Amino acid sequence: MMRHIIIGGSIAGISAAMEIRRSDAGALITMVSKEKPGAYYRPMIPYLIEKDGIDITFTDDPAKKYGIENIFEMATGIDAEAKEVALSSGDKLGYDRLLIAAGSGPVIPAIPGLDGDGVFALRTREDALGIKAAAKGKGDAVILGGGFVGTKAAIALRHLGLGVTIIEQQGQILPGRLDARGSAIVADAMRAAGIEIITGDLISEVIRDGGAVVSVRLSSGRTVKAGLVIVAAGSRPNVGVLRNSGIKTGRGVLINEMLQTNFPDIYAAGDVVEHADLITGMPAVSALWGNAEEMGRLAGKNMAGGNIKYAGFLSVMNATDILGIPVVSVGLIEPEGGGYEVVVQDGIDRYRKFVFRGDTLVGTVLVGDVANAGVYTNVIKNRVPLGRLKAEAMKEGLKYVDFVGSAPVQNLMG
Amino acid sequence: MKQIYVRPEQCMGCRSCEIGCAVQHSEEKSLFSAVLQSPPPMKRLFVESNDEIKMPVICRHCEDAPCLRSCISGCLFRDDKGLVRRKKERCIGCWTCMMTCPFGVITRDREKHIAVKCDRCHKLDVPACVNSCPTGALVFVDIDDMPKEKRQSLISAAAKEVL
Amino acid sequence: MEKSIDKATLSALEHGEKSGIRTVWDRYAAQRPQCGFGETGVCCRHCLQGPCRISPFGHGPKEGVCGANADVMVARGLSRAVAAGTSSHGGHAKHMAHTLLKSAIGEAADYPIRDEAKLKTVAGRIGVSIDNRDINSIALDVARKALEDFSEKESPLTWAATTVTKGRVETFLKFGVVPTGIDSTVSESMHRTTYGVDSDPVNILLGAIKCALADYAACHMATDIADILFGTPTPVVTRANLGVLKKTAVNIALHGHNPLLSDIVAQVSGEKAMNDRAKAAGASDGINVVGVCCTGNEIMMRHKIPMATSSVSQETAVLTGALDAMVVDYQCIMPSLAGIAECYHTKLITTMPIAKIPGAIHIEFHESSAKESARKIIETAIEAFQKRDPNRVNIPEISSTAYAGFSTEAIIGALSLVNKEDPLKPLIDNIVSGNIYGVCLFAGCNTVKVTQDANYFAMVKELAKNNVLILATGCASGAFGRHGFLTPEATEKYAGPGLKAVLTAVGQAAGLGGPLPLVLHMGSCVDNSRAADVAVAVANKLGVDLHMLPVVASAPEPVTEKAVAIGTWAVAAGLPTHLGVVPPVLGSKLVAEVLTSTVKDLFGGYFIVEPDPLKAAEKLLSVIGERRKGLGLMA
Repeated sequence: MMRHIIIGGSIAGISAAMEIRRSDAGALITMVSKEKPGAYYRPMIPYLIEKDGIDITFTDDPAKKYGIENIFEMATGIDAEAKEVALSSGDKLGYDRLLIAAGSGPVIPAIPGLDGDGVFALRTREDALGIKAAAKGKGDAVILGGGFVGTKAAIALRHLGLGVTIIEQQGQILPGRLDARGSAIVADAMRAAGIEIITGDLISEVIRDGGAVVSVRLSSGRTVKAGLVIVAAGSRPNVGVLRNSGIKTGRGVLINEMLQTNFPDIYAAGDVVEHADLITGMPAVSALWGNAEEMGRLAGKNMAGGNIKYAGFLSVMNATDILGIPVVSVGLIEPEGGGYEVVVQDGIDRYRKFVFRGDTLVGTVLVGDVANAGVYTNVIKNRVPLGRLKAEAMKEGLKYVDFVGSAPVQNLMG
Repeated sequence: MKQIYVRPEQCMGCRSCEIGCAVQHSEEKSLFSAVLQSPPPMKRLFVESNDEIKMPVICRHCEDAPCLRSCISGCLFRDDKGLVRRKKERCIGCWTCMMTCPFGVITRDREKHIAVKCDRCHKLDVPACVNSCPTGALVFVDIDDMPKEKRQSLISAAAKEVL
Repeated sequence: MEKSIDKATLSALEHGEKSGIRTVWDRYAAQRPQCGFGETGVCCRHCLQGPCRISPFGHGPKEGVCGANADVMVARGLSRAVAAGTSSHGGHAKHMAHTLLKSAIGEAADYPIRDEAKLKTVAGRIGVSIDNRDINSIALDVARKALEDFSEKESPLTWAATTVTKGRVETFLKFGVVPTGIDSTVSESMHRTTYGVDSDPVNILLGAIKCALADYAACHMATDIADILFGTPTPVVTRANLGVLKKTAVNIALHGHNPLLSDIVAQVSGEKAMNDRAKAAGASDGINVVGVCCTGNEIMMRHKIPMATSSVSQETAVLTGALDAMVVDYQCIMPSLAGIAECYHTKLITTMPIAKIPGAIHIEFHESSAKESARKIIETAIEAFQKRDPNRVNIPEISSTAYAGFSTEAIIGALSLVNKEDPLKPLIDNIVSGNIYGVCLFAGCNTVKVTQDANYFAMVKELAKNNVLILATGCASGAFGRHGFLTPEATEKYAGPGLKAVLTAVGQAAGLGGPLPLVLHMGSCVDNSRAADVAVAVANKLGVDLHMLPVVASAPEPVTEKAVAIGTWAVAAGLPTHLGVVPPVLGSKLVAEVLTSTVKDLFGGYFIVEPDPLKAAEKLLSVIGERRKGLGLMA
């Protein structure tokens, strides 16, 4: 009987556990995660801030449905030779196969005054509920970071009636997730909703009065009133558990195409992984739900004896809705250097950008109109050469039927 | 299990299936009240064409459904008939399913701010689109119950599509 | 598929796209896929029990609720298209006839008889006495005779019976397709195709032919009266394409069909007072009137007014940002013009009580006060000019020389300079010798379903190379004009040696110092009657009937129901008639077979449906060859 241990209780770990169970009815599956009470949809947490009574838990408890043993403890170390995982209680668990799906944690910059009450990260359900409670009676909030987490937190707090200011270090909000034009459209809508956006600036100090946050001072010298500070400065892989384990890491855990680490019986999946981006080929980490789900699923299959190769992820593959504006960005959205062709359609109610390398679509930004977005995603992800369809893509846009017929240009699904 | 099969060579592009679908997903489920409904009911399938063919593009309720796998809110689920359906109240309109569906058959309900997709008319014996197709371009059959040659023709039609 | 092969059109479209303006091509893309039942003609909405449709794949019912099968549905649909086309040309001709009548009785001062010779020729032909009578009484009788042709008479339509060969009259009588009234025949077509009347597809098609012959009569009448009121065209040299718009002038486009409006606007636009006003408003070049579609052809021939664009690309005139007013009467006017005009300073001005467009200014046009209305229209354009945004002006600097106005009289006139006693002899001699292999009349429109002008371009080159004499009307001449085919240079470049020799000889005799243009511009779409006149004259001279002549017709990019009517009378006249777009008849094998084959045994003419222009040219050449053989000429 195989004994599988999964470090991490979110989507990578859960989808791995599900796959292991599908392949092996008798396997012992143990999931080690400090987060109680189990599985929930992590990308939903910003909605907990503004909405009452929404349910973000998995409808079917995976632990029950797939027979997974939960250990609500922190994994503190791995002995790859002895095949043991050490827990915060001091216990040790032996394994046949181990999956590291420890996820990622918030980046907390070293800023004077940041430590203390009134400052929250937004990575967990507890964070979100804490923010919701703390926002009561507060007039203003400052969001450190204009990524997706920051913008969503800003909108949620604005909906609760707070004055909100986003401080983004780079020149635009959603840097790396949207191009300049797409970002500007979104920023305009946010400003129209009363959210202040300050770019190209940093928080140099959090100013407190008797322990309570009252304002933040920016590098530019400006002071912004704030009773609440949300730190949304990005995330980094939780690799602490790997210390001294001999498992190779870069920014995250390094894996091969079978999702194995340098120890063949230790796999890794999800936010904790570092892998080459499908389009750029450059090492990247991804904090995206969909990528974590896919990696976890394939790792689970392989841990249970499967032999499935992982092609890699797109580190940009985002869909969201910002104040009623749908937004999708996939692949390489801001190409640098030569060899790319960029087609932009900037209309009254939609903005679309297509980035080509030769006749291959390598990236797209869709703002305002995301119809058929999945067709583009699959074309990009599977690196489908478009041939005669390229002209179509540039003019009318692609649709599924373009890939059907007696002589399809190319299989849409790679 | 019965599935909807598309036979593009029989499709006239008349969009009757789109109308049938929208009517079935309207409040009163009749054409004449559906055209008066505001906001109008939404269709769940799309008649598309290229130089060679016309065809309705439908939700396949994929076995390995990218929409379901990528759903971040727990809205999409697989029901006991194997259909990928919505728990509407859980949709927050993040459009991730639209980003991942390779067929482009999930759309936005702008009024309700939720994603809209085919439920294969799970309460009906025969889906509305199949019922409204006047040429037999949409058929609802269990392929295992079919005579061999018919099965072959459906399979070869499906093979022209890229699955 | 590319939208157009015309650079000016493409440039204007690109400019429009940048402003987010949608045109006919975008709307077509949005309509696709189009319903196959409609495309194949098997959707019937003629009663309230329908709609009924028959799957062309044989699935489901083979009959509609009433029992009509696919053959009946397709035949009825085609017949109604012919009726609609006929009612359009009928409406146009009737409008002319009423005006002629008002002119004769002194109620239309702005419409004097300008071509008395033509009036007398027409009068003589239709049996109106001309001896010792004043012009107005002759005109009154001609107008009355014309108006009589609309109601049901005891005798055949005057404008049909007196303008075709004797042989044709006999053929039409034999098959019972002689119309006795234009409006009454349209009405009969609607009657026989309504619920539970004619259910014999072949009989319905014969009814359609009868109606098409009424269309022919209407076209001929419209041409005749236009010549009487405004003068019979003689060749002029002008220009065609969007480059004829001027940055420094008040640009007014006249769009539609009937010269009753456009000719008066053209006349008034030359008035000094009007031009002074325009100059005072800042337009240093005064007023610049340009044509669009068939109204453009009418004023091109009679006033040398340049043609800006035509047919499917009509919206591009507005996209230049330099058009101050688009003045329209009726037919082929896209309602979308209103919305596009709104994106600019351009005023869309409707003029006819039966053709209004929401968003347009309506300045109703009456014969009794025509010039007054015309001045008001021009004033409106001058006002609009003052709001023109120079930053949005993008006139493609592209236009071609265009020779226009080859009426039947003008062609015979040119030939008479070669042989005064027997003007047709040089033409016939050259046909016999093979210098002219045959004649092809290009007619019709441009369509979103074909890259604009591509079929015309490919076919004319192929036919001219093989010494086929090319005539053109309507938006076919618009297409040829844009691409420089209405020039002697095109003759030098594209004509086969025999054709070149003939066109050069006639051109020299006519004092052009070079050949006639490769394509002879004969006028608007009603002026297809002019081409018919030439063919009738040649047939009569040879003593044969039309269906034996090496003469063919082609509508390579057709759109309208009028084109369907014209195509049908061309077939009835005995001409093999090419269509470059598949008409909605494929749902009935029987109807398709009748139209492309069986009808040949009855009338000699038939449809050739061929979307590929090179194959179409090949087919037309081979038909011409067959006809030559039939006449005992070298094929």
